[in-house]
Amino acid sequence: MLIDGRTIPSGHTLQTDVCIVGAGAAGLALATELAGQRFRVLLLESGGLDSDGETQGLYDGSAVGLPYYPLAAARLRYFGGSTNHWSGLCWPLTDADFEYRDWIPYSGWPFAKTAIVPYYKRALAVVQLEHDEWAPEFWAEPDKPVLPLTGGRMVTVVRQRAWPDGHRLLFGQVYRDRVVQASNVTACLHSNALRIDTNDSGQRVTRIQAATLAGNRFSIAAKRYVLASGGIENARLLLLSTATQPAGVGNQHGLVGRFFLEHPHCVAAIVRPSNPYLPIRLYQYHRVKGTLMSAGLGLTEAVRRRERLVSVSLDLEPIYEELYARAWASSGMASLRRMLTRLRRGDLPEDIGEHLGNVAGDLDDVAVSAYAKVRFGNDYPLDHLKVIATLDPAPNPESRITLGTDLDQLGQRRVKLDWRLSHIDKRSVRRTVELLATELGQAGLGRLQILIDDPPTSWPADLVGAWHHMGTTRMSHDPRLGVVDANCRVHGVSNLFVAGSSVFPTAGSGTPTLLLVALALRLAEHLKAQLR
Amino acid sequence: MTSGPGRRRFLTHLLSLGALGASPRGARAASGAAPDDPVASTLSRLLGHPESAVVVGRAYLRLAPDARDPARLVDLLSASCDGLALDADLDTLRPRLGWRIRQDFAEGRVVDVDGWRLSLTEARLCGLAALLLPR
Repeated sequence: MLIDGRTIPSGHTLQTDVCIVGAGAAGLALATELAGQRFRVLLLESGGLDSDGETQGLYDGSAVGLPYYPLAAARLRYFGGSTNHWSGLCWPLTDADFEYRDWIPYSGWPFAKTAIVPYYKRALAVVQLEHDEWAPEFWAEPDKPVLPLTGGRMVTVVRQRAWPDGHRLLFGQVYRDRVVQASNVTACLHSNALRIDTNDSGQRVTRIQAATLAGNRFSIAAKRYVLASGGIENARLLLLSTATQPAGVGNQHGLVGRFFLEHPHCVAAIVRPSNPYLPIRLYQYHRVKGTLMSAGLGLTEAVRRRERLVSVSLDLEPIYEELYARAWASSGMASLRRMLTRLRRGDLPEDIGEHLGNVAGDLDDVAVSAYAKVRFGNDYPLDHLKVIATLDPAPNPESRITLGTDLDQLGQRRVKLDWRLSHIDKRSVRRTVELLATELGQAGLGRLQILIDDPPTSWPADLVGAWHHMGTTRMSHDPRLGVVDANCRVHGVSNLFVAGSSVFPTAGSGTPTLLLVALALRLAEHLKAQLR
Repeated sequence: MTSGPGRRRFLTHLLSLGALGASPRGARAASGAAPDDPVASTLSRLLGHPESAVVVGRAYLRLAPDARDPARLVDLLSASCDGLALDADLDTLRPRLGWRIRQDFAEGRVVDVDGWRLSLTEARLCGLAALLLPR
């Protein structure tokens, strides 16, 4: 069932068994997994079914430290959450990502990967991926081979994209009906959690205070509460909840908001291939066996251990010879592609005159592209490759979310992000591309130019995050090292849980969405057992 | 970090190295003036783009001033190819050098020239080209 929080009278208390704050990937995975149970679930969502500017503005905040995107652009605040701009990239963490590594401070999860593998498999179904296959050999084809790197330092790693039927997977659309039809689940839209109230000892949540932008305020009383509002907002809500806990709920050790993690990436190197027809199509997105996938490169675990590095994955972006690249990018070719696309659909663009004019004006580029298509098919001669490095940074307690002094429309303090990285992160990127240079040279595949300073003192100007917000309510057995325990329960609070990537103690070499869905499914099992 | 235009120019110069390791990218003719020195003559035929190798070689020699002695470079290169003379025929020299270059990478005998990670052998070949080939 869907209800609109703006219709709830001020002062009213909604009674439920499980209150989930946030209808993004984690909240929806959890809610749909709890659908059909004998207990009631209330899914509290700040936005409506579509984006609106005023609600999105609640995400504004400030960034100090490393440059970051505007916080209101890096996540989405309506039904489906940030899956509404999710690229669908899926790639599980490795066994090593879950282990403690003595050269990476604060590394390690409170359980081994084996504990999450069954949920990873189920998460694949949630994101509608068909193949639980991550070995490159499964995906390679004769014209898309694995690069023949022979030095034993690097391996090819597989990424799949959750793009069923050629479209992005939008959780809000795919799972809306299941939420609406579940008799025990109510999604309450346009409703913002303001504060978590606890009993005097702070050991039990008594209610969540909520408000809408229309001005009404109400509360939710539940047996269990789950924060699933994203890697920044989960921490923010805990920090805002100071009625009985002056430092915020779950913040008795000052950890809430610390250890903010991202998956930063930058162009770390340029490769000049020895052969302009170096077969790299496996490493570009393409559909195979019904799945959109690509591959990247990374160091073997043995090398990473020996070199004491964090994980860095490398993507290869082809830059084709200028003549063909320029022709392909010309407005004449763009118009030709547009017209052909529409023709295949059985119609023509409304502005066909303009498109024909563009084609006529760029006849030379159209001719070059036609020649290239006949001559090279899909394998244009390469000029060079950009090597884009994405790293799994070392957890850093100084990288953090705090509350700023500005207030949002609901009178809540906005967040201040101080994103930081560590020296080992820079050293790892530099060393990883050095070892790629070695592999390419040894295999006779090309030469590489390293774009990271030596010694690595600064980051390239193009360093950016991936809109992956993790770590701010990290998981640990030890309350002095983590906000939540291995079951995602906030240490010291018996009925408060956190879902989503904020519980990740490390970012990992894979992508967060598949893992946070897996963790949500695991949490659902835990809650079912508790409420049975 | 190398600037954009500089990087682009260096990319072009690195075309010269293709003739050594793997498939050459449309090797051009050697530079016009045929050198009298048999080593220089071999070099100009060995390198797909001798003029580019000269540019790479100059950059290498700035990093390694002690490599500015052609006789020493010839000795070092010959020694790294099991004593093979640098004026040997190309069919013998090219695979031997190619193998040596790959081995350099495998064994960590590399040098960074303007950010490019090169094998020591190919850097020395370019250095020799810078010293011997006509400008």
